[in-house]
Amino acid sequence: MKKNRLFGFCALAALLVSSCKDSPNIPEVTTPEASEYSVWVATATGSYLLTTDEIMKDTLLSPANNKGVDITGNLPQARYAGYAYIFNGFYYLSNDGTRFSKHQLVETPQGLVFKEVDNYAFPSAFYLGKMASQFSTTDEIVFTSTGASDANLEKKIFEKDIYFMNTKDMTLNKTLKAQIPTLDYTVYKADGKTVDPTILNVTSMRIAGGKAYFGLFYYDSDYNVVSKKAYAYICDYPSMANGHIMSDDRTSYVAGHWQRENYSFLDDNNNLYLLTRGKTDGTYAILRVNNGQYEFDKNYLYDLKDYAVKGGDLAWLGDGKAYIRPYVIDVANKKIVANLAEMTGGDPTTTINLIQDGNLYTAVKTPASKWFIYEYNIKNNTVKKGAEIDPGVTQVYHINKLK
Amino acid sequence: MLKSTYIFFISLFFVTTIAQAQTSLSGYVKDLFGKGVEGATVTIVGTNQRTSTDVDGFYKLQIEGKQLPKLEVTSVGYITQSAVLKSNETYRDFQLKKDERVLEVANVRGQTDNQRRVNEIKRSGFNVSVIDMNRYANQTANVSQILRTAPGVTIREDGGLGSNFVFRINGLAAKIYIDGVPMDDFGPAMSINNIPVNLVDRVEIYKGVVPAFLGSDALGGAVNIITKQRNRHFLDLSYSYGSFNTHQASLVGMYTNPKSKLSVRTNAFYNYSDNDYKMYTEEKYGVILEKEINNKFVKIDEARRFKDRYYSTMGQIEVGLRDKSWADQFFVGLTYSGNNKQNQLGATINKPYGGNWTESAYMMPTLSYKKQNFLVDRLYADIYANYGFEIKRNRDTAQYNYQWDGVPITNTTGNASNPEKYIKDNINSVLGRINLNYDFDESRNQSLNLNYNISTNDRQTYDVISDHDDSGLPKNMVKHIAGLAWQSQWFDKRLVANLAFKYYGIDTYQKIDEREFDDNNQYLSGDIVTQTRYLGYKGYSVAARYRIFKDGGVKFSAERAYNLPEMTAIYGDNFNVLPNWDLKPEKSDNLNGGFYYNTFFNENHFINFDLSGFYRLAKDYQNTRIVSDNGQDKFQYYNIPGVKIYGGSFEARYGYKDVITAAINGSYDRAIDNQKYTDETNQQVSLSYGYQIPNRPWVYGNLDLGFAQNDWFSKGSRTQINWTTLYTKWFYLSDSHLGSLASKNYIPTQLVHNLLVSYSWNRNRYNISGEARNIFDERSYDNFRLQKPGRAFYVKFRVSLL
Repeated sequence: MKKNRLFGFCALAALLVSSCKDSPNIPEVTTPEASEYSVWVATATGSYLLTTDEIMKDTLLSPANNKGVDITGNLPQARYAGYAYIFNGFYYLSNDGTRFSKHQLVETPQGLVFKEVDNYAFPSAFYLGKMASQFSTTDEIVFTSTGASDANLEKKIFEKDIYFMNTKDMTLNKTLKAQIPTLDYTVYKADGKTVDPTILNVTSMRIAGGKAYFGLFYYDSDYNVVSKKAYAYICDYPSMANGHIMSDDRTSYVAGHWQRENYSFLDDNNNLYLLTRGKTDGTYAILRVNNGQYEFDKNYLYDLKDYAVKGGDLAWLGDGKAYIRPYVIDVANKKIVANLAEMTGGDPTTTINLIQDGNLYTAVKTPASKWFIYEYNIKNNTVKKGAEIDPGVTQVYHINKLK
Repeated sequence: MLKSTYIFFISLFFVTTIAQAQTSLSGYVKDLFGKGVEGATVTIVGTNQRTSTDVDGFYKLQIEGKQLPKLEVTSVGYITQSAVLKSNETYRDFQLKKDERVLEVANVRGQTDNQRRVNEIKRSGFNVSVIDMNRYANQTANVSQILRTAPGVTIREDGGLGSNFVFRINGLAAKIYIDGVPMDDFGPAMSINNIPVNLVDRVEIYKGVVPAFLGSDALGGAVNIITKQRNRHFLDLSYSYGSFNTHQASLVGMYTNPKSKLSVRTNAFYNYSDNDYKMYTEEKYGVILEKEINNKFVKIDEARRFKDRYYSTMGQIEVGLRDKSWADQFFVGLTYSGNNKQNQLGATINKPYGGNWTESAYMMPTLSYKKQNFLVDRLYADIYANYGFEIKRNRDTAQYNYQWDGVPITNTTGNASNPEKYIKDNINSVLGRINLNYDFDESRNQSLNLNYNISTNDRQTYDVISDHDDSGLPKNMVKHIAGLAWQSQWFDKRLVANLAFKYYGIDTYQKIDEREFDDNNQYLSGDIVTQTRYLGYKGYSVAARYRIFKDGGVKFSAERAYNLPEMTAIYGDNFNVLPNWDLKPEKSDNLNGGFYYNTFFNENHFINFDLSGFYRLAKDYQNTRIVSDNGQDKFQYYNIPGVKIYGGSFEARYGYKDVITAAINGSYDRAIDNQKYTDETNQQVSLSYGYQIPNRPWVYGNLDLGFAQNDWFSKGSRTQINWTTLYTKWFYLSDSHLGSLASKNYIPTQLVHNLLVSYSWNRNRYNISGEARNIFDERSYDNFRLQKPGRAFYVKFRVSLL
């Protein structure tokens, strides 16, 4: 009798444990219509897309209370946002070093989800580098990878690929290879005898007027810059022939990062402007390469040593103006036109900016640690405050137009 | 080859020794529930011949003369039993009944060290569970598989045999010790994930406050793994084979010369597994396996893990003297361990590696000394020291990215290959420990315990591929932990209290190369900068147990404790864990309470019930996150400024003689982000404040049912069937309240069932067992969707010679 009771108890316990649901309850929701914009934010432990039709409306955008779309699972590290490109409502990500994937916000009965719709498998480490955004069409995007290139010591070149990807089926239409020369001298390690295999990173890439331009950052195996000169490479496009390295010692090495942010811009006349580090530590300067020339313009140097330049994605705004966070500059006259930090009373921080209809949109973090979207009107040189973003987020990476 | 020769000679040595003693009378003294009675006196009536049983309840006597002797077995707390031996009878077992007139087994002189410790643990104010690992000796399990069945224990793993793990008790970091020595000091091959159960006598799990003698900087608790040590000769050999080409062998042995008291003891194990278990695509859990076709990842339903092989080996020999006037035990030892682990996955399931592995070789000489009545009466000294040297290599030789069908992705675009990686570490470590315990009286009503631990760890790193010598930049850590504890017993031992004070010190040191050179590598500026940091903290604790009635009582403990970061957490491991020099020690104020009830009824039935609860307020809670490093997902330790954890657990056990055992337990631990502001000045409230910390189990439990029968098929045999079920409730991988529920990833509820059937004969000398794990092939995940092994079968053969 007692044994029967015991077995009954055990069976009941097993039944109770077995009957537990294997997943959380996800209720159905009213399917939202596709929104106009998404704001890519990060918290201490996750990444979220906040969708809205009105970025300039006085409203609060927040992932709290199960709003927005959780993309943490697709993006283990929040700063991978720096390797993402959003175009035509699609998100192109390279977040694990193997794949270049095309994502989309997809409606389900339970709400919006972030779903991969296609991908391309790279054979070796791949992270999205610089975009040639002016070539982006509904069918093709053009870009480089971040890959720090090891030199081909026989040919004395670094190879940098430019990929042309068919976005309809995520296949490569073609690949162009820029062959960038190594430095014309040997770098040694601290022992003075061992040759240091110098590495190259491309911090900017622009294509226009039949030329391709690359900002060059040479560094050694200790991650130290090997030369405090600014280097850039120019070659014919699309033949990639007639390559030439130019250097300038009026400033220090080129500024930038191997991520998506482009540290150069082209004006309306296809003159290239390149952000470099200044001669004084912690400062910046701008050099120019005039359209059709193969050397830096000796008559142009914009020393920004008196300004707290934050770098980031440089953008040509038109009307003779460019944006170097947080400043809007008059490029030709080497003047500060606007300081968005002063005008907004905060710190513009968006990694990749949205420019549309004569306006620049950026997220600003105020001294009170609040986040707002601001609209800067390029023509009128004015700012306007838009939606508030939850002060609990730690970073706002992108403001993207989806439609 | 060397290993097998070593095993052969050791085996021969023990077998020969045992064969010479076969004329003696031996047997086991056990209680009605089949548990060995330690310290029972076995006497040949009418003579002076007597002996005491050891921790297994084993005894051995020489028979003089030809008359049939009468044996008498006495033990405090049990009814005396006697028996007349039959002619030519060389062994006799006894089963003792409890003496209900004795309230509690008294702590008397003459107890063995082991028994004294067990009784001390049981009676202390600490919230402790003791797992008798001899019960599991016939399983192919390693220590972690048994540990995870204890209430309040979570072990996060990322794969099969030899995989990395994170161990927590009641939600906070817990430290693991082997015979009181931190497990980290035994090299990477010694881990709860690969120590076979056969090497272990028992495991003590301390929840909350940890006794000072462990010299621990644990917060949630500690585990002390006690290896098998006996005064007599014995040899235990086992070998198992199972799914995924898994081989596990172990050897434990001991020999003591009765005259000279010279003792030799040895432990060894070998583990090997291909770990090539099946993985499955489960889209609803965000797990998608793919292979590449024409440079496109295409979903596949299943794939076997590949290039995830693991093997480890360990050999330990200790030689010393016992029972000398100047030492109860004095041993010198040498431990060698080595392992080789292919790493198919990093921190996530996203990217399989095809040529990544870690290997290490570790050598450790040891010295240990134990003495009761050291210098003065009732002063017990336990002194231990070791020096460890390890060479560790992290390598990655895969030129191209891999996919789940085990081949590299086709390079159709002429992409540059991935660079080879080869990082070599030389690690030196030293551990010194002294533990002194003074009893103010024979009844041990008042005791003082003083403990001091010092450990140093020094690492030098070389990048072999680039011939880059980082060794000029050593990384070093020294930890000091000192504890003073006062244990007292009051009201006829109804109240036991332990008051302790602890000091924690951590001294870290690193060098950073900040030199700059010009184009011709001429020195420009900067220097190699030395960063040092010393942090010291004071902690205190109180633990008490009050026996309310004969079979039950309450326990309470409170403490302020610190968890000092490990070497890997601060300096990384040059493979899967990135450094974080800014990592701070974790502080926690803890409260623990509990109720226990143990009773027997009708002599043959045993019931045990434990209920406990806890509340922890942690500052700088150490957690791991995923961080990108040159294209690979890696772990990094970081501090969560404030965390509140509360919860409880229960466990109920039932036993009927040595025939039926049943146990069920459940745990609930909820960790809440307690850091209110992201910006203290502006008082901006954090989005996570007041919400549960994601990616951690919070409801889990276990069921264990056992049935055993003696003397089936042959006299002296025992057949055992065990069924275990492990349960973990689903949990989100990111904050549960952020983002739509449809877009969130979670680890699903898991219910894993295991079945064990074992048969031992010739009085447990030989044993064969079969084990089916995860019988229903449940999808079992952990840590960012890393899938664990599915259904697996193992057989094990074991020989235990006494």
